[in-house]
Amino acid sequence: MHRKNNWSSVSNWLGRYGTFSALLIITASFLIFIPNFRSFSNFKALMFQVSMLVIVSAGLTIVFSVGETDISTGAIVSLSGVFAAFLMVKNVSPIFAIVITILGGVILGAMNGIMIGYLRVPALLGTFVTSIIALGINYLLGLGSSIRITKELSGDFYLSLGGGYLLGIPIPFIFAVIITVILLILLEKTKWGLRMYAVGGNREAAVTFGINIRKVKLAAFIISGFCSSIAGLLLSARLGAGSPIGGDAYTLDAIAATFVGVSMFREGEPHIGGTILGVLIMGILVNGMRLLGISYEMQIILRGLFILAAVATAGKRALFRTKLF
Amino acid sequence: MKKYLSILIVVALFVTFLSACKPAVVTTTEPEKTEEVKAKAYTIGVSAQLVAHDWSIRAWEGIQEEAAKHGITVIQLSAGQDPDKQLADIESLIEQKVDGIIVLLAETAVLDQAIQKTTAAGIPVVFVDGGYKAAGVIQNISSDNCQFGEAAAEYIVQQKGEDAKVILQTYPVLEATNLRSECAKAYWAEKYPNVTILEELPILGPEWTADAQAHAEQMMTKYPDIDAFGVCSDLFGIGSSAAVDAANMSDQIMITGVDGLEQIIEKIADPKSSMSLTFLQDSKAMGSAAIVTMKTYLDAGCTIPMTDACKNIVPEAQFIPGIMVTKENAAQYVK
Repeated sequence: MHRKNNWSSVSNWLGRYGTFSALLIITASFLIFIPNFRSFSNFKALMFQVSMLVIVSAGLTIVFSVGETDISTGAIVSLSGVFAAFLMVKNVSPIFAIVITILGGVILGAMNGIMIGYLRVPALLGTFVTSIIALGINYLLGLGSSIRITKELSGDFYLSLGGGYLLGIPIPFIFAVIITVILLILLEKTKWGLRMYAVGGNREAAVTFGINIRKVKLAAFIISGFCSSIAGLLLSARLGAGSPIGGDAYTLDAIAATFVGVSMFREGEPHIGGTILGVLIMGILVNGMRLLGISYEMQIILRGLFILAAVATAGKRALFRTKLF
Repeated sequence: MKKYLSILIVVALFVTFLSACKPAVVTTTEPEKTEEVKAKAYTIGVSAQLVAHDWSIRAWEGIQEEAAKHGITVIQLSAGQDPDKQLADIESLIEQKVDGIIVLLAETAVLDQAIQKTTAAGIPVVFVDGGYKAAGVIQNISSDNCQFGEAAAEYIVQQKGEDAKVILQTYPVLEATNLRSECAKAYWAEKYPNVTILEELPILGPEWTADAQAHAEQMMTKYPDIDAFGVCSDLFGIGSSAAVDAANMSDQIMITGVDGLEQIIEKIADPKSSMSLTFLQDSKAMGSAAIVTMKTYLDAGCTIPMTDACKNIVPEAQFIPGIMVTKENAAQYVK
């Protein structure tokens, strides 16, 4: 009985902190075994590489918190980059291009929110429709090619958003920190956040308490669209071009990272902090695999296994909550 | 239990990497017995957009074999067509302090930031199958893709007449494939203005073959009098020719492509197939040439920025000739 209790508490500890432990083990091992991993320049490169995914995943966490999912994030990331580049080629000023593009992301997010919150379309279907529309607009604007963003078009300011530094810190990383802190406060410390968790946790109870489910879901999807458009702008600034396929990988990666974060802080519930850790694990894994020269095909397999682990970790409650399964 | 499983999976994966992973690194302990072996061992990074079709696989083989002859270590990273990933791959190669980088296919529009980084790091770049001019790129190696487009345009006119009706299947994402289509159009506009381009469609993938097939089927329904499909890549040709042949329209419609895939050459050799022309690109020679160029440049003690003394060490561009394969000579190229 005593041994069983000890084993049970160890098991609970590992269950609660397993993902965080995995992150520590992976990072420590890479630091020890891969000399190039521990260089300051690699650390800076890593900050650039994970920033956009952090932003997209943070937005997706908000959607998860209301019990829905969003598979249009990658398409909105791609479209935002192409749209901003398209506008600048048409001599729209960079600032104006940024504002219009963010507005576009918000509109697409609102479209998701209306379909899912008001018209009761299943989230997988609704956000899939949005992703197809975004893809179509994307190809209409760029005809399938990337649109180059030169210094002459955009000035130093725009490109520095994706590749520059402020006080030695990569600018995209600063954006990632600001956005995640704001969303963390929104979700954990405000009434809006409580309502979001309530809607995601128990719809009937939320209705009983007078929460407007439709408005809450609409807000969640608007936030996700906003985050995806910001990430798309930063990505296009980093690449120096609006790429029609630049955001493709973000959809699944953001879902995986958000799932990893589920249950890290509260059983069955998404959490911005957990999501960040999920992004970090993925980013560090990929960075290390690259430095090891591991083949792309093997990286895909391992990413798939990682997603499997994320799903296994999330638990039934989280999976049903997000209505992915 | 599930959480145990996840931890175990992650740790197991990771231990597997460190102990048993096979990185895509080619090293040679001893160079082959050749007089050209130099004492210094270089490490060259290869950033590939994708290594998943014949062309790029042959290019990679050329790189590996030539590197092995010279005792050069090669680190290959493939981006799966993701430009963000390709930029991160190049950053990783810079981090590993390679002596040179070969970019094997890339969308030139997204290369600016990557080449800025390699230039800042003083690492010379050779670009295979694209045209990208920048201070840090010491050479572009490719086939003459414009010449392929013009030759295909001329061949269609020779076979179908000066008032041929043509459908173009394009891939504007890559410089090489874009040049083929654009040069064909410009050639017709200048020399044969009565050639009619009925439609031009970008096939953006990733299901290139299936999409090209579906497109061809739709076009045959829409335009009963098509004379030819001009496709910028043999991957499209596989799909389009399947559609045309299945519709028993190979007597009416011919298809021209580029790349020289084995499957396409076999089709060209088949008198019943609509596939009529391709250009066999020697991508293996391109890969070899990239290593030779890089070695020549580095052996001369050159780096980036390129000094005046280094400007003439290697030419800015190198064209590797392709072979025009038609129904008349396809049999000799069938393997």
